[in-house]
Amino acid sequence: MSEIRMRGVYKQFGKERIIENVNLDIEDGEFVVFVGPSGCGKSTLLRLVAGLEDITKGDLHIGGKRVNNLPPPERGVAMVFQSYALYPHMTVYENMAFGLRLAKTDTQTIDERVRKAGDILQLDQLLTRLPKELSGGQRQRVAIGRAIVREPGVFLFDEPLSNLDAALRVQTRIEIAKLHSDLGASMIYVTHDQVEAMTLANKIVLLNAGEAVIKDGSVAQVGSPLELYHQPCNKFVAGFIGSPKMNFIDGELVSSDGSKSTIKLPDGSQVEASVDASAAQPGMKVTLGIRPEHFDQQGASSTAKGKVAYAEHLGEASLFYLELAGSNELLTLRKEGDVLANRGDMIEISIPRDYCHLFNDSDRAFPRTVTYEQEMLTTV
Amino acid sequence: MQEIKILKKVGLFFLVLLLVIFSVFPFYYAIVTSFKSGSALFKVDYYPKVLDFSNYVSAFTEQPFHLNIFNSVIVAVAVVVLSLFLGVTASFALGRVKFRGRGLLLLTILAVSMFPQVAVLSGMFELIRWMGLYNSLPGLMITYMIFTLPFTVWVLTTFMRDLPKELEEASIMDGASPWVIITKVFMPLLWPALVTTGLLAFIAAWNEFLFALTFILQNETRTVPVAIASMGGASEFELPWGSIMAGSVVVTIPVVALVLIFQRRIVSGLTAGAVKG
Repeated sequence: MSEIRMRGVYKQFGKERIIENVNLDIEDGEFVVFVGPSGCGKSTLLRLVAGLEDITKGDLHIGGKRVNNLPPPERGVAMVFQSYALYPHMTVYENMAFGLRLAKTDTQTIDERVRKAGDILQLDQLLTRLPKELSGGQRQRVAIGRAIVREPGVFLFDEPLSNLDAALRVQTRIEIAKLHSDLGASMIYVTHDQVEAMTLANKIVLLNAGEAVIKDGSVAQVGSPLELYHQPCNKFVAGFIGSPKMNFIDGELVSSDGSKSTIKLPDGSQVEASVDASAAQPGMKVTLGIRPEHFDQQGASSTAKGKVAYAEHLGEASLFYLELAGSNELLTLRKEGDVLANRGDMIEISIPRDYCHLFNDSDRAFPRTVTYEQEMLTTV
Repeated sequence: MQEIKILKKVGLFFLVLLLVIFSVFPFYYAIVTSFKSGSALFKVDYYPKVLDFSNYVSAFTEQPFHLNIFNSVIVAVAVVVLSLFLGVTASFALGRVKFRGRGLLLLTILAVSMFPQVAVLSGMFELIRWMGLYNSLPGLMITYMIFTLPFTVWVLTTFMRDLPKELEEASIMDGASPWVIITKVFMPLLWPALVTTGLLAFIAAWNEFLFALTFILQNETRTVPVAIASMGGASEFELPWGSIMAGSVVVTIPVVALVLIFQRRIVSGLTAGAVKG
């Protein structure tokens, strides 16, 4: 059993507050991804778990044991580094065996485990090579192999794919997902790439950066990928998850009856959203959020016209950046398939009420009255 | 165009030739002189006319020159081993561990190498006598480290600092203690630096004159440079140039050999493959 419990974890470097009040439960066998903008301390949080940094305040339990003061090798964790960090003077075999040799494991067990890891990672032909004779992808696999042979309860990945090229990244991502289902160990994975986060995670931990860290603590939201996508708890999460990012339109709350709210937009038109904003007073400044891919869904309460400022044709879809009357920010619209529209063309968009998000004046989200399970049913 | 290119090449060739002659000629002249004897010593010749080995024989028979060489080897090897050991361990602390006053400490170490030898001579003399090492080889080994350690520590610290941090962290995760990290992970990567600094320390200890002259009394315990300088001729008025040159040639050969042997080990790019480059 290697569940991880963090209780009130803080980390400071001198006066700089990097990690604030993290409370997190990672169950045995879970795949957790730490994601966030650069400088949010996601790598630091991982290194706290690894034991490469000391925790300033708070408790860290792994497998029911408090490990704050335990050295890294005794925590039952293994880490894969972004830059691979292979021992350049040792062969692939020796690289993987090094940790076991230091732990005085007997030679036969070492050999078994290294060969098994070699099989899993398709390194069996390369065991006698030196790291410099390997390609980037192979080096990364050796780094993973070095973690596997130690048979840890928890794997820690620090942006393991960011040094690989795009094609290899997708392939290795799938290999890591497969590895997780084969080994059944817990994995914590740090990335700044939200596609990796969405595809790999059982649970995403989205971290705040900047002033929000001091105000709200380091963790912005914890949840399954779809939870974060469909029910972001604030504007930051809503904007971070999803690509292209969610559109935000400033508005004013007109009324709310518990199941739906009416919002007045800057151009004077009114929009309905399936959001419970009854906690707020009418007249409050609010922000309406809607994802670029959700504009043309069913259930529109209002339509608007926008002039195309830029168009990007991706093949499977097209992105249009629209100028809207009364708003100085461009609105992003995603349309499936080939849609031909050029600069200056007018496009009509509809705003479906079931897909709207609404944020109050301090950027907190109002609860949506449509759960994403329902929403998914309607889309499938 | 073509002429300018050729001209440039010829110019470069002559420049190189000049440099080679300037650095090699004194040694070449020593070799030539070492084969001469009697009044021929004072005639200027640019190539050996006769091969007369009597100077080499007398260098070893007139004084315990083989003992002197042996002493020099012991001192130089000990200085290299001690300097490298202290240098590697110190540079690990100075290059990889963050602590208060690290910069100041590094500067102090550098400052030590700035003192002229004469300035520390009398103090060093007292120190050596107090330790009871006067007139013995260990006394030389310890005093030589005053000039070998600063540059060893500095060079190794620079190299140590450049080793990737992840490599150290990966070995920590693998359960390596600082000692294992130094010996099993960092030392193999530091080979080029170790060979270079080791050679420099060896040469410095091998050629050192002032300390060796001051701290050693007997002929049998002397090291080579002093032994050569104190070679006496048949009479008070004769300086035995022949023997001196022969001795110099003999003691230069080990150094040249060492450089040639270890030259192969001074290979760069040993860290290739450790991290994404």
